[in-house]
Amino acid sequence: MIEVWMYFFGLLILVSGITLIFTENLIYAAFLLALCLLSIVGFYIIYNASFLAVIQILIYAGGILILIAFGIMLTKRSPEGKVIVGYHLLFFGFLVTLGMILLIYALVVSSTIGPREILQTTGQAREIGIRFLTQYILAFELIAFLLLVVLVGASYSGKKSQHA
Amino acid sequence: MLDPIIFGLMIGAFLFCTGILIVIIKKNAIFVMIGIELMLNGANVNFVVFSGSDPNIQGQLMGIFVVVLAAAESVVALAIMLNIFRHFQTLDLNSLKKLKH
Repeated sequence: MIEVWMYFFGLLILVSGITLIFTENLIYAAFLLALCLLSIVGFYIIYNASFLAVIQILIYAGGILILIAFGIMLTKRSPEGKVIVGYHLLFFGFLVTLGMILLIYALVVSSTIGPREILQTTGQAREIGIRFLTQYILAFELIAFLLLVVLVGASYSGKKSQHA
Repeated sequence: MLDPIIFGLMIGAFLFCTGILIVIIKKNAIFVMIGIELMLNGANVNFVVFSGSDPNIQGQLMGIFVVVLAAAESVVALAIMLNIFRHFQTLDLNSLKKLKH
């Protein structure tokens, strides 16, 4: 049964990703990104990362997508009155992507990852909280400090500048 | 029937390659940001796939850090984009060539 869900979410990610490459509509792109992120949430649940799945729904689907939608709405018009979409550097882009695919394929083929069991543990939120406050306390505090800096910096650079 | 670990790694690689392609070939800066989000999610899928067989769930902790950093990055990027749009009236990456006015 779990394989069926795995292939279902994998297919959703594949379709939304490929459509995201070829779409020229920014609003469609935002919703396709939402579909892709929610399918990734399904993957997280399959791989026993339920806490991260909830975080992903809250922050990505709730926060970042709203931000991107705001960005699309606030920056939509060019002076000629049409949205600038389109492609450039097509050859270079496909070349780099092909190289990346070959590199990852070579890495996967030459690696020694055997089949592993996916654990089904519970009580992850407790475990994560304990680890955040003991083993990863430095990274946790640094992230908190970074969020403060981002808050101040974004509100400063987002306001209308006086002499521009 | 594929091994779930390999299948998850393939999905992560697909997300990363899609993101890098979108970052390179799209002209609009918002599309570039969407591509960066896809690349971060590809890395995150890899973390989670390896964390699924780890009783210490360290990959999941790293995944939470990545999500928070992605949120911070997108906030700053959008603030910069709004300023650029206010100044140049466009987000076409080919026309943003001047560093000062």
